[in-house]
Amino acid sequence: MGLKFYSSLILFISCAILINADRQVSVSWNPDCMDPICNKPVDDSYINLVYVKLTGSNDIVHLMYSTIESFTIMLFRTNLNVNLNIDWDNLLSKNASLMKDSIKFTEEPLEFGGYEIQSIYEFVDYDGSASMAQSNETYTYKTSQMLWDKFVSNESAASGVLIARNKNTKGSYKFLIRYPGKDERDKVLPHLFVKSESSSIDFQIDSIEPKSDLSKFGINLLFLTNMPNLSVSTKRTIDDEYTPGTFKLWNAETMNNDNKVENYLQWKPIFYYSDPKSLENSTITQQYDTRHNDALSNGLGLVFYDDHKLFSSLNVSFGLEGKGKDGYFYNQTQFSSWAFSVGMGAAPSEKMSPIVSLVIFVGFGLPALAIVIGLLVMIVKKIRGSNTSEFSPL
Amino acid sequence: MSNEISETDPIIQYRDVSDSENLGSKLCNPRKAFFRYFALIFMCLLSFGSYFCYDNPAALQDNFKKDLKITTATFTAFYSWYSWPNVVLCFLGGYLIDRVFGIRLGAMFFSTLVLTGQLVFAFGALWNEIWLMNVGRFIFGIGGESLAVAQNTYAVAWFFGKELNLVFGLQLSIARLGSTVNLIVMGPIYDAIGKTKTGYECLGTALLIAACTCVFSLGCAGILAILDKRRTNVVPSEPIKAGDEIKLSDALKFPLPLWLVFIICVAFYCAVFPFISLGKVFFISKYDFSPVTANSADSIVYLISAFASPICGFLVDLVGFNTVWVTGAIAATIGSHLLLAFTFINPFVAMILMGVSYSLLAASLWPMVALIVPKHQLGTAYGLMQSVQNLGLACISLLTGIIVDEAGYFVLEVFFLGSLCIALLCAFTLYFVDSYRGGILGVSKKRRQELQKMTSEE
Repeated sequence: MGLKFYSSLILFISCAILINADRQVSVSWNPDCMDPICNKPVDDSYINLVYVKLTGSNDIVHLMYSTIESFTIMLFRTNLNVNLNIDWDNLLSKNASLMKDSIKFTEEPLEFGGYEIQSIYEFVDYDGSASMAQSNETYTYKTSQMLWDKFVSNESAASGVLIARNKNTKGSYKFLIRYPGKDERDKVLPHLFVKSESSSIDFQIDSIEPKSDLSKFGINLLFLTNMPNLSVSTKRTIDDEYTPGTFKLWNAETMNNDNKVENYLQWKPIFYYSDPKSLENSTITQQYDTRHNDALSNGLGLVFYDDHKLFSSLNVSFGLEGKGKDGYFYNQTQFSSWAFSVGMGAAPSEKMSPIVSLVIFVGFGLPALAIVIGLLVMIVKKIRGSNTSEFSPL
Repeated sequence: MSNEISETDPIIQYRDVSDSENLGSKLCNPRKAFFRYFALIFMCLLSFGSYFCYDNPAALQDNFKKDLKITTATFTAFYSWYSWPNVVLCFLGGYLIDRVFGIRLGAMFFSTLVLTGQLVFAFGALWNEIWLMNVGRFIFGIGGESLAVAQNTYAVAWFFGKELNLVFGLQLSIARLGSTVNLIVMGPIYDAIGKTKTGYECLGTALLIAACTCVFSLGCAGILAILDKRRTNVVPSEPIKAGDEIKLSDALKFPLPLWLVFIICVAFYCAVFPFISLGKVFFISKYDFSPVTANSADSIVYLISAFASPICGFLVDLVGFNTVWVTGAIAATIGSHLLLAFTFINPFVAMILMGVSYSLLAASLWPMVALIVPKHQLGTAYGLMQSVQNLGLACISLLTGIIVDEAGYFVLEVFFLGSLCIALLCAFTLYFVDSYRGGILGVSKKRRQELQKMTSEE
């Protein structure tokens, strides 16, 4: 009995430590690369492999953000004291067979997965349907053909920015990446919840000149897993306290054969077209066209997956249905910002903040109390009143 | 049968054989009830323009924000610029009518102010000058609230001791009708203009078209002035007062129940009007409504109260039990906000419930003032109630804009529920205090008349 109690107590404490475990964050850019190509731009474009090591008490989560060819994000979970070895010559060879296994851990990862953003789309929304699939004028911008700036890191904020441009045009695509190493909400709207082993990415399209006044933008997200079972679902919430004006939470989760979630991508169907972001300069995203037969591009994914393997993908585009005032068109502000978070395991769910719960509790409790007290007083008075009236003199 | 109409005469009088006037002469004869009803039309339409234009921003909320590139807080400030001056000016309006202009000139003057305010507001939008728009709303506010005082003064002057309750109910109906018509037609008007103009120019033009309703109301004020002159020429009456003398010192001696009524009024209205002005975006984002459907859901409260106010007033007058009705109305509104906050049930259900309870509360709360304070203090009491309500709405509408921007609609709903809980607490207190003191607020009409008779006999 006593032993059981102590063991469950220890289990509880260790769980508590696990829940509160902040991870130690270390960031390196093109780690151990001696090749001068890693430090100098080639044709105005840098090679970026941002490697983030999130060391916890029981395991390490490794994050990689790569602009080697297609923009790719990879996540790995390993045991403690596992290190990374990169064969840069093979990695940069652009040859699928050489690239394979050019990145190795000293011990096999417990689990891993990733996301590839091959293309950003611009489509002219003539009929106001806000759907890329229905537009007959679509432009594709491949991330592998963009010119990338050198990674800029902000260590104190556990974040950094990767900026890409199309050749010979103005404006840029920005990926603001965050890897807090602890459970917390993003400081800026839409205040996504980020787990300690997860990362959030704010994708901004800034000052790009669109092809038409009716242009909208969209993005394609490819899920890199061994099991291509992608489940895309939306949850309605009554509570929009973290993201004002948004009552939905979207999750795209890849499942293994036991229906266990391998990794997730989470977002709110809202994007902002002003900086700083605010509710009134926001509108909704469209999410559609889930496909299950997309091939890898020539990015970091080739290191970990077979080049013939097929993956699931999803499109997200920015703008509401409708013509004129209701549908948002990129040229109105020439800015859009959409945030999503990625991580391993099941996507986190939204919780009501304790203050709001307390207010609700008090709000319901107080009037209930008042009714009870009032009724008691009335009953007492009625009883006394009837007594006195019976015996009161005329 | 005498030609003089006394208070005890029935509305529909027995027709004398010799009385062979046609409809035209009936309308023009101030001694006839028809003349009164003819004037009633213009009396009700007097404030149509001001109510129509008051809610222009709510009807075009999205367009305002997009065309002028403003925050929700700046947007709701358009309502604050209307309400803030009237924290004080409700007193002043009555005073000006009473001492300076007289009722006829007063009504025309304030109608002109309403029109001027709306024009300035529209040109502010046309030139994309937010400060000018705020000035416009300020002028509009001074005119609007004082015009309401003038309207009430007209009603008392023409209908005191006759169909006064019905008239007040009808005036509220027409006022609500103004808001409702606004919410329904402004969107299509904006869209129609949007074919030739864009951005703030389109918005400004739409607001200029809305100003036509103010011209219409000014016309009503003119006709009413002519009718009123004819009436006072033929039927001499005592000079009209805008309520009684308004002495601030009276306010300090008001009994506890009256202050409770004030708090209920503010706390309740704060959970209805600011919600309506922010509701459209909420319906679009939470319930996936189209902008058009969202507008209908938003305007249904006004639509219902347009029909239900006179009916509710009639019912409450018939049976009494004012405090019970008030408590019930607040409880029902809490129910409606609970539905909006915690469920995804079609918001039309909640909004219809809110509309009915709003009508019920308006019908049972305002007459209570007359039961609490003596007649000679009624002006002060109603003036103060209006002012306190304006103060509350001005503060709260600033606050609600900030709440939505920072914490979202759910927290806003929690805030409204909190406000309604305060109203409910006060309603309970009012009921218990009144019944403990053996008061007349929470009893049936029959019992109330007995009690009043006993008091007057004493």
